[in-house]
Amino acid sequence: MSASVELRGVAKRFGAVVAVDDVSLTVQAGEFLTLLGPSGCGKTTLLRMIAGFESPDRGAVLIGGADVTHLPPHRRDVNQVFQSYALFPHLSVRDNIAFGLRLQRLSRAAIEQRVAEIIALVALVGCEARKPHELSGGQRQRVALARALAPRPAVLLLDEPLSALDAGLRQTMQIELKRLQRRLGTTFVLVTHDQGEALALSDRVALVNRGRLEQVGPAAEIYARPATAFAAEFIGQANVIEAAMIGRGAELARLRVGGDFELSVPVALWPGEAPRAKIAIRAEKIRLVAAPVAAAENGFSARVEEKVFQGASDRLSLVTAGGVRLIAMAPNVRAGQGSFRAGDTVWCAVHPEDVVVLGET
Amino acid sequence: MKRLSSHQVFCTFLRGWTALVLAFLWGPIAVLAVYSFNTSRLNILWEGFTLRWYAEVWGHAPLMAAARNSLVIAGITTIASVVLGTAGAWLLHRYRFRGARAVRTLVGVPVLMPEIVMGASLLVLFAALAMPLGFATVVIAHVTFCFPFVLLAVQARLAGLDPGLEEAALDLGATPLRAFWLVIVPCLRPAIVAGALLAFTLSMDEVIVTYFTASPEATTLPLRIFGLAKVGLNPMLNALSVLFIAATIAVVVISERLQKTPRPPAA
Repeated sequence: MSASVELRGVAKRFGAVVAVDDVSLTVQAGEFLTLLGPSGCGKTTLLRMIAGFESPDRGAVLIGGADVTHLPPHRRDVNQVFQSYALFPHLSVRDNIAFGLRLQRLSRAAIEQRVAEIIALVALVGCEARKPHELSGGQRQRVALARALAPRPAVLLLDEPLSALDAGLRQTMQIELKRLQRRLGTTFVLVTHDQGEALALSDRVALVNRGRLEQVGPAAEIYARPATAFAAEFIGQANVIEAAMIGRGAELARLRVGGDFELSVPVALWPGEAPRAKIAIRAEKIRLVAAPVAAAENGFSARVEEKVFQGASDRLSLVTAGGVRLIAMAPNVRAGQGSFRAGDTVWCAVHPEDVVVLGET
Repeated sequence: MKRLSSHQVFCTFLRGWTALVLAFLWGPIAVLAVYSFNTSRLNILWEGFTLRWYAEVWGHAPLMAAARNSLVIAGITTIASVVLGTAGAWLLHRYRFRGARAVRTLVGVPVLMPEIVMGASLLVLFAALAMPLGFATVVIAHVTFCFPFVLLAVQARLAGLDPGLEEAALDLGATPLRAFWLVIVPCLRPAIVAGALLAFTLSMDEVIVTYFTASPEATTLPLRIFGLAKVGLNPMLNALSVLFIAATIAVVVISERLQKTPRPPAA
């Protein structure tokens, strides 16, 4: 039922704006892949190329191994959940869902059976006769999903499907989407700018920036090993700083970070003979203590400039003696149990394995 | 006695004002309706109730022929205007092409053009083409000034339509033509009904353009009434006017029903 999707060197420009610039990407059959990126990065254009609403200026689009680059949307075995839902306002929930099935010229009995099945699947029983304007936001979202899934497409495309829902409902729908995808085994390609959604849902994430792919891989892998400064900063909270090699040992390399403090990193991570490189340190990987930590143990001191309460943790803005600014997370604990205040001096420690070397500058 | 608050005074004033405006609008029509049942030939004194004038209208063969002509012309004009106007609005909305702005302006201008100019220019055109005046020339003339109204109404509705609707239909397997028919047309229905109504009424009571383009055999009801009124006031005209008003009210009520989205029973 499900099919792979392949983009081969696709490119698209709108006037002077390059929306997509030479992107190649393969989505495996049955995979849940997320196109993640800031607004205007070209992720929606990529999705629309798969749906057939945009044709690439260069390159090819393959679905299930067949070249569909020049096939119009109505002849592609792909359905989309639109950001606006685009439910047909004059049709009931039942008729919205049956729309694609009727176009497939299925028998009346087969359509009825499939509609009932899909309505049960997305928990819309009892709403069959209602019009879209009589539904809540969450229900509309489910109708859009049901309508796209009813004709059993080989690939389901989702364009920011949860962006119109409030935070609580979004979480519930994330779980449901994931469950649905596992159960159906359909290939899902989702577009979002929300990193939390991407991390929670996808088997793999394709990070898009300025019309190009920054990095493709499982969310945890991009998180642990971001390939670029953009990847490090877009997913999670990372401090990206320039570092210079000042001593090379057998296992560890000694770096001067931001012209200020020193850190050791596994020498294998360093890009060859490069004298300088960008490194990233995740905010939550900086361990904060009150007592001094030796420089040999990757310790350095900093002053707390600002503390922002974030519920489970506090976000601290730190400044080192040499003026390097860092963001660190501190667990929200009782005063006197290791909590810091603005103006305090803290000691920071970073495990060598937790430093990400991004590459030459 | 309790003193009236300023709010109450204001409300009373508004009520009175509303009554005045309605009287201004409907007073002449009410007078007309009353006199249409008057036995007297003169619209001055009430002498008694009669349906004689309605019977005379019914029996007046030239008037009935003109009414038939008018209905047929307005019917054909409405259908042609709806098809041309809706298709034109969709094409202008959906496809970007060189000169689209100019086309939009050119289509809109005749709505504001004086009818006397439209009538004269059409007459010149038909003469140049050596087309004999008659039924066909009247219909052509009416369509030229009616379809832009449909186009403008539909265009306004299209501007507020989610472009995702067409894409969703295509995505679910509809050809562009079926997507238009199954999704876009139903969404445009209120605008199409409003446009059709405008086209029908415009065609039904048009005098000036018709005067230029009709032949004696293809004369319309307004032209015939105009001819009768020139000879002198006739109580038959009162009856005819009341029939017109009744028909107009019926059309408005029906169209309001059509424009309303039917509500399914609450779940």
